[in-house]
Amino acid sequence: MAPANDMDVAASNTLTILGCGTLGSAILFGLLVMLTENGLSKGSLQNGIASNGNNKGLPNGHTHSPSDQDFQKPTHFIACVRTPQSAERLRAELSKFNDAPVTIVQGDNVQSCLGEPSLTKALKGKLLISILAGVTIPQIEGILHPSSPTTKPAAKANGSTRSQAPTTIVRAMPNTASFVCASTTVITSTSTATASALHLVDWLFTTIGTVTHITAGQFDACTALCGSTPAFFALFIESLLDGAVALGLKRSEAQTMAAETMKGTAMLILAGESPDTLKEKVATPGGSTIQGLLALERKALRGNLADALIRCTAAAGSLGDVHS
Amino acid sequence: MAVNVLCLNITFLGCGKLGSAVLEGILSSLSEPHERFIPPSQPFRTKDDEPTLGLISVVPEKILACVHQQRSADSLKEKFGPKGVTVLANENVRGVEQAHMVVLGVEPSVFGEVLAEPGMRDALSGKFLISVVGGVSIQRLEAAIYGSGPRTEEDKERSPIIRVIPSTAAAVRESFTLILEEKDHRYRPEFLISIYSLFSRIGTAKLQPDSHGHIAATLAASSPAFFASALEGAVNGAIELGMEREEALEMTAAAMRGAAALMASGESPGEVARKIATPGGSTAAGLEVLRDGGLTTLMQDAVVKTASKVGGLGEKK
Repeated sequence: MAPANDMDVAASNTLTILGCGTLGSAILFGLLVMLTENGLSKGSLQNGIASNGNNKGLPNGHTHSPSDQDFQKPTHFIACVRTPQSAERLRAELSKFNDAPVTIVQGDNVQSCLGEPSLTKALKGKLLISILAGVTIPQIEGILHPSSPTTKPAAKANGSTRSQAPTTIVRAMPNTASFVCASTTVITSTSTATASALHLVDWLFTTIGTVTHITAGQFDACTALCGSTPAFFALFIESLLDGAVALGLKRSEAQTMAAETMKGTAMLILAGESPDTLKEKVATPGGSTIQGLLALERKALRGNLADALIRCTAAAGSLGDVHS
Repeated sequence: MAVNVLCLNITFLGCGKLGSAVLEGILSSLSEPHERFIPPSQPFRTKDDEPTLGLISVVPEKILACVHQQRSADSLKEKFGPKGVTVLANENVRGVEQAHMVVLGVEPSVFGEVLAEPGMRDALSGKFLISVVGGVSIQRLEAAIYGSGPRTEEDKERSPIIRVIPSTAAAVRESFTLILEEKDHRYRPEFLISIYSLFSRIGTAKLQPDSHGHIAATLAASSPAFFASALEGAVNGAIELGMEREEALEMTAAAMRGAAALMASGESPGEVARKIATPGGSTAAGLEVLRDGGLTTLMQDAVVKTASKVGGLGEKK
């Protein structure tokens, strides 16, 4: 978490978002909502995890404990954007909050500046959470610590000639539902990440949804599953609404119904129901639901969705090629 | 404002998959204070300036489930008996006699004979009849109970019948339930409020003008199956990529919940997709596959086919 160039901020309480686009904004707003609702106080980490369920334990044998308050939760934010238009947009959206503790910084292409010596230096000893799709931790480390290009890009806590500790890099992929604090965020880290760092990352993302720790190899598939499928389901509902409107329903009413029903379906499955059993329960013999289901089967809906997911994953993996 | 707490006995006449889901949801709602299930009086004001209605909260007292097959009765007893539900096999009239409210949940093919059973008409007298039977109109339900002749003096005491469309998510109290208002039926506000209160125990309830009832039936009751199919497809893709099924299921369901939450809060589907899919990005690639596969027309087709079938349910073949 690096302070901006010439700003003197209590570093440990500041969260900087390098590149505050759609996803960065979603996270920022989700955090601001949670913090303003809870009065910027240090909420209990245990509560944060418990209230979102579905959280697996931390990797590397770290566990949550009541003494996890020792890391500093952010109370100030710096959002870095590339263009004046982005800065304007952000300012407009932030005006919904009274006195949002956010500083907007506009600068050059933030992605290319990761390799800049001044930023690299500023990141020393700090925690860097990357939400870049398709860019692996080894790739980021290769940019931040290019002094040993021949070593395998596995994280090593020592062996550096610098006097300060290297940057701790954690990779996270939340999704746009952060806006309504319903994100599914997957996180991967390396063995050098401390318990304290992992706790902070968990806290950050549990304020805007659920958190799961995964291995690096699963990251692209999870990016697709958690980050992209919401768009698939949105397209699904849009098409369903077109059908409903054609039959005479008002679009806004139909949308509420469809969205609420989709939410209920998701919750049933999260509660343990399998999709098969659910379909069986809904599609009574000779009834109306099976007519619709058959129409979907005949046109290979499931295969189509599977293909979309696979294609999406492949594309996610190759996004990082631009940066390496 | 004072709250009128109505402690009512509820009989599930027919307790199949949907009935069981509703029953399960109601049972788990009992642990919460009844104040949580008081509907707003706003939607229920009558046109003539009636004095403000009191608030009503329906609290299920005794719950009965009536089924036909002993086998069904046994499995229901096992599941709900320990929670205090009385399960009866082939004792429909007796079950209805003990109720204040009756939830009719039999299959569309048998509603006629169930309602025409000797003694049923009298048993139903003075009670509310809530039908969750798909695609069967109030007219046909009334005809089954009272015959299709003109109303007589005695018929003043006909039980009010209302159609309600819950969904299987009732089991986890996440049903989006439609309470159908039919144009030829004027319900007394207290009646509507009571229904609303009961069904708020299993999720969100909404009054729906019945002119579009059958389309609403499609969306509310059938679409969970369509969503489950879509979800399955994505999960299968993830499994092919090497992910464990359980993990993929959990993530996809959570992602679906998030998407739904966004759209339920008012974001249009188009907006949601646009926000996520940066041009040339990975999501856009996936969406292209969906569009190439004809998702848009496919879904419209499914909805239309389902809605048209609903109209024909319960017809004698």
